[in-house]
Order: sequence, then C-alpha cells, then structure tokens
Amino acid sequence: MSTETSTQHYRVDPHARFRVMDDEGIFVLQDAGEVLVVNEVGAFIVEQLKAEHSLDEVITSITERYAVDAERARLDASSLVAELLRAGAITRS
Amino acid sequence: MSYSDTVKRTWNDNRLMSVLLELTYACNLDCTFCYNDLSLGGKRLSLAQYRELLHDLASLGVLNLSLTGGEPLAHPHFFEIAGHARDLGFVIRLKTNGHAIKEAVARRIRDEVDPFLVEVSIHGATADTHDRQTRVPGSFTRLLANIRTMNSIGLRVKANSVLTRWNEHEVEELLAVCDDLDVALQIDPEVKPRDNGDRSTLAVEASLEGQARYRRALEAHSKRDVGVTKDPSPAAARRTNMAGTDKHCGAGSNNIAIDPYGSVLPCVQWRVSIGNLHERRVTEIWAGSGMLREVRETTKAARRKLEGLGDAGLLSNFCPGAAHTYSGDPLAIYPPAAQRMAASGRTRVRLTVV
Repeated sequence: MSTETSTQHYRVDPHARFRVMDDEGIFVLQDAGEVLVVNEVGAFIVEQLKAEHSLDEVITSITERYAVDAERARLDASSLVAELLRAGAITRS
Repeated sequence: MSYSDTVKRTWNDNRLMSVLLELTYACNLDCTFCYNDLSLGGKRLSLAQYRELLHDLASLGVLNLSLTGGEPLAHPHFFEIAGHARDLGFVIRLKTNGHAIKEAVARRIRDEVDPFLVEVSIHGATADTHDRQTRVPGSFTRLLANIRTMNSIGLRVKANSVLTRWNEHEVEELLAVCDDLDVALQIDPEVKPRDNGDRSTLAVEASLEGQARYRRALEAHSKRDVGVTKDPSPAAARRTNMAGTDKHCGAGSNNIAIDPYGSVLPCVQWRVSIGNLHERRVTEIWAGSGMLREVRETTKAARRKLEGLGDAGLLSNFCPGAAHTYSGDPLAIYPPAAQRMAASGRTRVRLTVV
C-alpha cells in the first residue's frame, strides 16, 4: 500500500537521469546500472513531478489531459510513484 | 516497451540519442596505433560554444554523452564542460586512458561529473606490453593503481583494449588482470586505420592465430562466468537484434560525433563532416543537413547489401564508417570485414575487397 501523501513533492534522484523521447520516458539508474522505460502517461507524470507539482496537482493534470476520472488517475499516478521510489528513480523532496 | 525497442525507434525516427564529443586530440600517452588524425587543424570550440552546444543537445532530448579525445582530461576546460553536462542531466561516459586519474582527480570526477561509466584503455597484461604500446614507461603500473583508486571511491570502471600482434599472446592474462581488478573488459579485435586513412597502424594488427586465440579465450571466459555455451546461431541472434529497423546502424540517425574543431560527424568512425558548429548550431545541422540525409540512406543501403550476402554478411561486423576510412566508399567490403565473412564459412559471393 502506498504511504504517499497527496501534497508530497518529488524530484528525479540525483544519481538517476531522465529524458523524454517522443512519447515515452527513459530513466537511467546510474548506481544500479539499469534503464527503466515509462510510457507516455508515465513520462507526463515525471515531467509534472520535475516541475515541482504535488501528487494532487499531477492527478488533476492527468484528468485534464487524458480525460480519465480522478480515482483512476490517482491509482495510476500513486502506483507509478511507488514503483519509481522503489527503483531509486525519484526521491521525496 | 523495452529499451532496445526504444533504441530501434530512435534509429527509425532519426531521434538523436547519443553524442560523442572529442574534446581534444592532445594526449599524455603516445600510442602507436592511435586512430586520431593528429595533422587535423582548425579553430577549436570555445568554452562558450561547448555550453551552447550542450544546451542545444539537451533541448534535442539527447540522453547519452561520451567525452573522449585524445585524452579528454587534457582539455583545459574539461571539468567546466563535464560539470555543465552533468547539470543538464546527460548520462556521461568518460573515455580516458586513465593515466592522470590519481585519487584527487578521481574524486573530482566523481563529485563534479558523476559519470555513469569511466572507460579506460588497457593494452596488455604486463607492463612490457602496455608500455610498449603507450610509449610511456610506468603507464601500466600507474593505470592499475588508478583503476583500483576509482573502484575504491565508487566510480564504475570498464576497460577497453584493442587486440594487436603485441598483446595477442597474453589475452587470457589480460582477462585475468581485469577480473582481478573487478572491471569488465571489452576487446576490439580490429586495429583501425587512422581517421585520415593512413594504414600504418595496421602493422600491429593481430595475426589470424591471434584472432583465433582471442575468440577461444573469450568463449572460455564467458563459459566460466555465466555457465552458458556459445549461441548456436550467431546469425540468428544478429537477425533478432536487427528486427524492426531497415538500417544497418544508428550512425547519423540516433548518434553523432563532434571533433575538437566543431565538425559534426555521423559517428566517431565515419569521418565525413555533416556540418560545422562554427557555422551552424547543432539543431540546424540535425534538422537540415543534406549530407546527413545521405548518410541515413547509406545505412539502409548497407543493410540491404549485407542481407544479400546471407549469414556471412550478418557476421561481418561491417561498419560503413570503417569502410569509408579504408576506401572512401562506405559500402565497400574492407579487409577485416572480409576476413570475418570468410571465417564464417558461408560466403556465397565473390567480393571485391578494397
């Protein structure tokens, strides 16, 4: 279960690198020597987090951009954030 | 979507992903088969131009940035350039001879550059062999000490070597030395002509016996490491890797190289200028170079040509850039590629070798 709060902010981990390539995003996890690819929505979420938007603000942006309901957006965003935290791609700021 | 699918898409969509910067041809070693064209001259890029270039590359979405030379640390503004690249979020690979990276420098690299990988050059398993190649006495002992230092402070190090007539007798020991240092080793079995086509470097290319010994050593090492046998069908594996694209390689499609004088090249091996940063910004060159369009079409032609040669073509490790250096024709089969095709035992056509 995610313990993330809706007002939490995140940033790309200092030892990770992130680039958006067309409609997907690539993380290079420098310490682990691994690459992680996220889809278009994932890339959008990460870009929003990089712009210092909170999880709540990101969820609002997802509902506006992709015409999905807030609950679905919350589930998807929380799940991705949890996965990226586990992988060391992002950290709480 | 896997990372390899993403990379293929960058080939197909001409999406710039990786850039190699030759910062300088100056070097603190004097390797006999160095491929740099030391007679090349011109106006060097300034620090301000490097800053502008890095911003442009970041705006193009470039992910990977290799800093090389010559010896990149010999550039007077190395740390400013590399640090700026780090700040812009590139995945940095530093390709160096490792000679200058004592502890204080290693710590600066770690703290100011934060590279993904430091690639060092090792030319033999013994001081006699390595120092003969670098023409700097003591360079082998110093390299090993510097690798240990880099390892100890948390830099990820990989060793690169070129198989030559001088080190082919000790390739097993070279693998053992790198195992002992706990660094991965990549051996290029092919000595290249210099970038200006000068073939004098080939005087030290490995013998056929040396090449065979290298393949056996690599196979034995790989079996010991991962407990698998050799792929029963390398051609099939190559076909799988090539699926999903009609290009032979990503030269000029997802990667470029830039020399110290601002010439933009399709890749580090393909020494044909597609534009110069003293005249146009890299964003303009990437969007509008006619030569770049030609290069991309040539990589498709190379693919068609090699596929027409069957398994032998697929196993030739053909490089259009190397072909261009040998003969000026990026589609001409050159001697080492022809050798590999012959070794595959499946050459069905008579080849004209340049």
